[in-house]
Amino acid sequence: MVNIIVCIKHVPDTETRIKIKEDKKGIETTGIKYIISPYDEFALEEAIRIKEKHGGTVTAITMGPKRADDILRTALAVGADNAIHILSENGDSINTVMTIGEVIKTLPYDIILTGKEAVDYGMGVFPSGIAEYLGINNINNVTKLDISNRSLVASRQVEGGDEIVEASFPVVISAQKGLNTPRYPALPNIFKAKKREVKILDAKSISVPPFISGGSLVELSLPPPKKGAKMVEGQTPEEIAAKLIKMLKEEAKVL
Amino acid sequence: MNHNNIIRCEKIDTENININDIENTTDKNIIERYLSDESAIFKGNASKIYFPKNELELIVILKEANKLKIHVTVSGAGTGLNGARVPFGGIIISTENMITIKHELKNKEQLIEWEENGKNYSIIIGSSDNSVYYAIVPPGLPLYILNKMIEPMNLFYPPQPTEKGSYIGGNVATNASGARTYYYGTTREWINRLKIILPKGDLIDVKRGWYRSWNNQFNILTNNGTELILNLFSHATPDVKKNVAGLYIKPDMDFIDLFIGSEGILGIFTEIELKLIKQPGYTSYIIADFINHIESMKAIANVKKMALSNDGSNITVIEFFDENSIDFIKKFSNPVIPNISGSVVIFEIQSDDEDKLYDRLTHLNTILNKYGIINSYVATEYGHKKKIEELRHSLPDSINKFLRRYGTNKIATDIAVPDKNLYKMYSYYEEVGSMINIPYVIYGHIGDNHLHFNFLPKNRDEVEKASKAIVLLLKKAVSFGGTVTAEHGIGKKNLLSFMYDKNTIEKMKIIKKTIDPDFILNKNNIFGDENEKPYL
Repeated sequence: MVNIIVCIKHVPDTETRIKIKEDKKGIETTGIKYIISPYDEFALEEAIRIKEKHGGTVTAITMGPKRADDILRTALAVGADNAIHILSENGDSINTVMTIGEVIKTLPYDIILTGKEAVDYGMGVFPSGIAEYLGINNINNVTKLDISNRSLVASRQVEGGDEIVEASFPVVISAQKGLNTPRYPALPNIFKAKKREVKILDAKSISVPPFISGGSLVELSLPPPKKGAKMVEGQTPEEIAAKLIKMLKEEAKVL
Repeated sequence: MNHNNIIRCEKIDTENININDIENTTDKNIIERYLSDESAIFKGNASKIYFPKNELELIVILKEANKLKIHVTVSGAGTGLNGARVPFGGIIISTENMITIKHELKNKEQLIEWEENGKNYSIIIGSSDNSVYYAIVPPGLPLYILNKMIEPMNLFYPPQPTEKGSYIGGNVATNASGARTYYYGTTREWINRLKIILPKGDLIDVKRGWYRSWNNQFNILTNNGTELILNLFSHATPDVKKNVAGLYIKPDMDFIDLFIGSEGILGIFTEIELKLIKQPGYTSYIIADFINHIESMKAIANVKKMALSNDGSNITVIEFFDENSIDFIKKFSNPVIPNISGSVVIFEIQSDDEDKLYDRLTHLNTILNKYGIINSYVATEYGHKKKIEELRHSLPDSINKFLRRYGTNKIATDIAVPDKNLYKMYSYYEEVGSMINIPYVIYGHIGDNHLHFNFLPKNRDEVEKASKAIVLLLKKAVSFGGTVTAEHGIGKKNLLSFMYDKNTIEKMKIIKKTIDPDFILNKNNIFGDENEKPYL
């Protein structure tokens, strides 16, 4: 029996055309469609697979505004046993780690699964942050996971290859692409999940140790628009090559 | 509005516009981009391209072209698959800058503006009562931008042709359709009103219902007092929902329908009023993986029978992929759906009521499970739905990757056949496919009995062989009471003679000649040269 906690986040669809608010501190949320962060989806799938193979329970946790309820319903539909929604409008990474950490402390846990990063701000603070806060093991960027007898062996992606790491429970695992292919929920479960209970907590009522945030958001800006390609024209390959070299020297200044 | 059954052109003053002031270019590099389309079958040539911003400029260009007897080819987004926008000489008019509607707003109308890629689009949205909405849009508006503009208002334009970069003007000219045509019909059903510039520069404002044919005729009175008499006629048309071969002509018809799907030969649209509906409350998909296409087709036939019952939830799309298509997707893209292997069918279900949606999904799933099904997945939530859409679009991408590798092009059909002949047609596809021994895939809008059969040749020799085989398929489709083109159109492919006899084609041609005696506008579309071979 393994007690598994999976932490998931509701993020804007990766194809969203982001518009920055006038105060440059946030994005316009009207018209945005939200999805479960893709790496969190791998974490959720892995949690269900571990439960199916080894027995145990899966508790899905998200922290975010009301709309984030959607992904907890998805988690319940694919096989999570419990769901906890920490209502919050605030996105500070350290505060998120500590708030979720406080909630996890009240639960039994052997494995905490989450994505290697959320695809909205892409900070990647959460997996190691939560391991540090709880004082437990941590393996990141995992693409393969084998559980046996209160411990696990994980394969994690590192520059140029894979690293095989062994760890005992409890442990935080962050999922990388390739860990699995997430399933689709079965039809009856989708609708049953809508009626299941989700435990709702208010982030403000969860007390966390005093802290000074490591940084504060100054301003958001969009990347500069991509410039169009420049076509090199000419009658013969020699002529085109000569023009290209001239452009690389004089315009791009790379030669 | 029917004034003695005579359709009067509007008085337009273009005195103040000098043709030289209208944006244009003779730059070969720019013109180059307008000389082919998605089909890549044709490569044309042109001396000049104009970019009019409004209907007045458009009229001036057309009048000048008529005066000098220069051929004009109209270009939309270039997403067509039949060469209709490819110019064979003369000049090009691109509608890409015709992107705004300037009007005084009537009661219950509002102007919507949108900036995308540095261009400023505008449309008008209105409602005649609380549930009937319309949008007045310019011809150069891309479909995906229309969608973005109306989505925040919870409105929906149902036809949704597959190519989201296509312009609405092009959609009307081709009577475009797509997957949702199964439930919502083609573009034709969603057009309320058109402003049309005739080939000689006369302007007509046509609303559905204003002009009905009279004694099998339409009479148009142009600004210079000429009366154009268009003689309508009856002819045998295929017994299919989707058919865009040739002009749409019936003895008793609405004037607006003559222009929709006319492939640009009768006029250019400068303003289009579309019918809109409220966004359906819930949209879901079921993707079903069958052991083979025989099982999936049996299941579909049964589902189509039940789809007719209307209980507040509707099956709006039925899309089919044969085993070869699925193999192709697996080889060339990364399918995001777990473990698909056989023949796949995607159903879209829409409803305003969640319980009814659930009942329909459950019922549908029960039916599907009576056949040889491997697995089925349901997507109700945005993230899952998106993955299914990606799967749907990954087939054309996979095919293109394959063809690029060999430097060939696909040899495809656009056939639709009547219900009763779908299986027979499918068997014939297989018979010809295995006889020729060139890889092929069969996929598409099976809800409308409209499957795309595509040969994927690896060299010139195979292209040659496949083209010959396609002729067999086209002839068979017509003998089954089907059409050779359900949605792509004839364009410059010279296929009309497969469908209609000489006499019928001649009568259609006379309508074109009456409106455009010198064949100034889009001259090579629809009516090919009978001595030339068809392009496939």
